[in-house]
Amino acid sequence: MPSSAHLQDAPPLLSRTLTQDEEQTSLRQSSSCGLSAASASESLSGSTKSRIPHSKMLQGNLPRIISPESPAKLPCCYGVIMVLSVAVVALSVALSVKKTPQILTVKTYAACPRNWIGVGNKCYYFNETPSNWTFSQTLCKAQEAELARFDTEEELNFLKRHKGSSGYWIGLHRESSSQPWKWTDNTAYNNLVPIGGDEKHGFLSDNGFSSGRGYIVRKSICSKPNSYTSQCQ
Amino acid sequence: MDAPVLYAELHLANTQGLRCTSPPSPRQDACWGSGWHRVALKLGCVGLILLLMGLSVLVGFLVQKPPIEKCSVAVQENKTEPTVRSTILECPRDWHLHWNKCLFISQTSRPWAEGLADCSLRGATLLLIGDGKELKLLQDFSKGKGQQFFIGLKYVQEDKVWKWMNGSILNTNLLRITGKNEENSCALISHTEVFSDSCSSDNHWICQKTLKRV
Repeated sequence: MPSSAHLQDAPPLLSRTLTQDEEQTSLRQSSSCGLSAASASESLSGSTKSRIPHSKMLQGNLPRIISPESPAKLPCCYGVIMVLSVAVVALSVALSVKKTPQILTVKTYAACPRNWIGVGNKCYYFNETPSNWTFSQTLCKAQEAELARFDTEEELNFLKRHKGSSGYWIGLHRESSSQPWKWTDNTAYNNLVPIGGDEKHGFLSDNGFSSGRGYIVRKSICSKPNSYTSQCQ
Repeated sequence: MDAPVLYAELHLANTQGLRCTSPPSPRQDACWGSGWHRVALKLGCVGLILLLMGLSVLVGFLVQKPPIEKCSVAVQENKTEPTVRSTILECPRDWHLHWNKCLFISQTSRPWAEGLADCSLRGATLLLIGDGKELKLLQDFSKGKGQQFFIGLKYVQEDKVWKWMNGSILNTNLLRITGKNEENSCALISHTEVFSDSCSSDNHWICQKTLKRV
């Protein structure tokens, strides 16, 4: 029975195609049959439309699948983005690393004002504008300091190393060449190093410490206590 | 006749269904896909631009913070060529030519007497100033160097006058001494004035020797 069923199925397909052809020929020959013509036109239009969409779909899909540009571009874009991201991260790390020593430096000098140099428990400032001893002291006082004072070998050696080629007024003075040296606050000098010359105002020369007349114009050095130390105390 | 009629109707219905579904589906796929791609591209471009801006800012930060500040000071040394036609000997090394004189500037500070001795060793004398023009030139030199200099002018207590090392008396119209006129006073030239300082004070000095014509 199933074999007979298959045989029965085959003939209808063949009959369908034949019937369609016959209908077309009949339409062409004569248009007297209205009903048969309408049904025939519907079937024709259906078949043509059904075929065309298939072809369109294939044509549309092919470029998307076959085109090599889109898969090639994406990895390139991703690569560029990755490289740039890595660069930004690296630069950020470099900046953060560089900032660290700056912070340390700031901490090291936090106790002394800007442009002053910290040595021991003092801050020193080198004033490069020449003026007489009294005016130099006035300039130092304007910065809450005094003409330079040294109390230890460390401070003395620092001043000697930074003396430069010109003379610098310091805070030593005396009433006459036979009187002892004193600092600007009138405390006694501890004779850590001898002061040359026969005058009443001390200055740092490239030859050590000397003395001159107070009205001579020279550069000067100011000093003040280190505020950090004073805060600790 | 009934069987063929039934088959025909079924096929027509199927084909109509296909028509309805097939045309819009590719359009929807295309629109959706293209939209997504465009949005992705825009986001990518924006991201790239932001990254570039970030890079430029970071590089700017790095460049703006140099670790060491370099200060260079240029010292002007005034040299004027003498207006003499005949040939002239050049100054020795480390000496400066000023008109018809060779001048030597000491590199260290010492009392006046030591400066005098040093000049003598060099076959020269402490500086003698002949006119106001020369004085002005030396004051400008002092300003440029930021130093003061002993010259060959000393107060003589016995005669109560300032005398040059060549024995001539100072002409106070030429230059005026600022400060004390007392024993152990030596002239110190600065960028504004000529001071009377202690001869025992440490200062730089200037030696001179006269240039001889050939």
